[in-house]
Amino acid sequence: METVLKTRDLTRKYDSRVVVDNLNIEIRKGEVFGLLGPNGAGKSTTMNMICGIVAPTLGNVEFMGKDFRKNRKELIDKLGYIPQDLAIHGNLKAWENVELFTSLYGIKGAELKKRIDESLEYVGLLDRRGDYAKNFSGGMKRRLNIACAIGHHPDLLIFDEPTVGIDPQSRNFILEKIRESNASGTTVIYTSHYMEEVEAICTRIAIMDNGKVIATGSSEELKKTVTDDTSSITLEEVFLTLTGKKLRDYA
Amino acid sequence: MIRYLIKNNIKLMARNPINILLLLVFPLIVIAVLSSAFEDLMKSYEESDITAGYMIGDDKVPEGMIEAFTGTAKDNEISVYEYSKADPEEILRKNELCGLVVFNEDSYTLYRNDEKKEFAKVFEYFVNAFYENMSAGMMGIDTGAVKLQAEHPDYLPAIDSADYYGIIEVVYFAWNAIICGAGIFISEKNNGIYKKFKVTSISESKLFLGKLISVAAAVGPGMFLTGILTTLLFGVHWGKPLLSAFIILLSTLAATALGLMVYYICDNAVATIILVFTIVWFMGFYGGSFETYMFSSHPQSVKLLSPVYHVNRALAELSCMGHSDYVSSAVLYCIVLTIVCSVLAVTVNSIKRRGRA
Repeated sequence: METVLKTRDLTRKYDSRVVVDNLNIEIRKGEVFGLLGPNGAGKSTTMNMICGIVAPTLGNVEFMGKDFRKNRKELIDKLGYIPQDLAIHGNLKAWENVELFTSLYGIKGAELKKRIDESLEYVGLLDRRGDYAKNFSGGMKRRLNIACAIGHHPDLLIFDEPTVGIDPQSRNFILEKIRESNASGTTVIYTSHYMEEVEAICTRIAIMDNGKVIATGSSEELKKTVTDDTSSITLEEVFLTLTGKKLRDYA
Repeated sequence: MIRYLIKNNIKLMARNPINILLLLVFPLIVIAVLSSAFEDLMKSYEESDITAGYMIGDDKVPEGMIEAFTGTAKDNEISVYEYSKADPEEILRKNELCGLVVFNEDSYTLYRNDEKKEFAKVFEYFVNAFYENMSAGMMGIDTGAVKLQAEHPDYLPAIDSADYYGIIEVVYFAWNAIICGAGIFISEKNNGIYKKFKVTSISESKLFLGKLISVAAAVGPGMFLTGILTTLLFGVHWGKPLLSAFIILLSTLAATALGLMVYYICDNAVATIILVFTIVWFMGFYGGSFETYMFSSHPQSVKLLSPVYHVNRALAELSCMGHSDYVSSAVLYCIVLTIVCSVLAVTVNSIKRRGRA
């Protein structure tokens, strides 16, 4: 299977603290790749390095077979990033938020209008296009956050904990949409603390701890690293076995 | 792509009620307060005639020169009276003159009344200009009639308090333009939008331009509207409205570039507002935003350092004289400031970005 994204010895240090340590992961075309890890494991820093928000101290990210940093201009349009923070302006209407972010990829005029409606319809907010984002519920804001990242039709979508703090209906809707995107050929990287979500949608999962990948594989494969009787163990138990039960209090 | 960024930034500013207060309500309140507070002071300046005296100290003074002197003074609306030989200081005091000049064969002595300091300065300038003109004439250079020029730092024809503060406070609030953009910076930072911009095709310089143009495009017309309101509410005369609007727009652009540079250095919207407000306050303090620059005792060299002074003076003189020698320096100052601050802002941001890498 074709590799979409590959990290080579990806390392990020903040002063003497190593947050991501020689990370080597490979994401294949058409898969939903889950990145799991306790707080402070280095997931967000990894995501930030993959998106080019933070530069690696060592190593590199290869995207579509090319060095991402060196070919950023050419490759950035193929990437969609849904941050954990709600990156939307409350004082802009839903369509204006989508317009703002979609236009930053060089889409304009009638095509832009079409993409705005398409994105809003995709997340079920077309009938609320004229409402201010500040008046939306938590779930609607999360969906709008997604709409802002898909208007330019990226090949790779990166979701950084997209279901934090929302009701089960909204969560289910978002997961359905991720499945839908994946079915239409979009590759997805997904991070979450919710094990059942990851188990439900991810084809392959990497568990990170202390900046390193400690296990990779499908849900079944990960369970097998702990016990042969995979039906008797949940992904959460695998996670706790591999990362330990000690509290992770990172500032 | 920058078009949509600018459009949405303007919408964000227009939807912030604080900006309406800052662009329209506050300037009008300040203009009303200051123009009424200084009305009497500036009225006395406006209505008073410049009255001075002269004395012939030497019989060898040519009669033609005295005639030329009185004629030229009349042309410049200065009333001059001849006094016979006596103590000049006493004549000044008794007759409430602003100045007295004693002519000798090849020199003159000028006495100034400190109680009428401003008019005394105008009279002194006039006498100097008259003598320079005379000397040039003797050397065969045709200099034409003596006319008081705006180049002289302390000279300005009368302007009433409503016109002065109406103009000057619009300029002052335009220089605080960055405060209107602060809402965008705070929203971008708090919502992680700036981080998301990094995952798009837009470059740092385009992001900077998007902010610069949108803040100037929102504040410039806002101040233009305030200018119209000052005319309707307080009868402010703007002299040449189009040229004045152009200078205010350039001021807004320079102020925004300055504010953005500070923001890119501090990376904190609140610190930027405090810092920019302080810088602009000092520029306004020396530039005539509070105390009129004509009456202030700040050294001229310090006043000239303030871009606000150049803009204030250009607009005030356009209002009361219809022309000003400060228009070009105000325009040049604003353009240079815009370019320098923009280059610095983008450079600082690039360095910081590389630093994070």
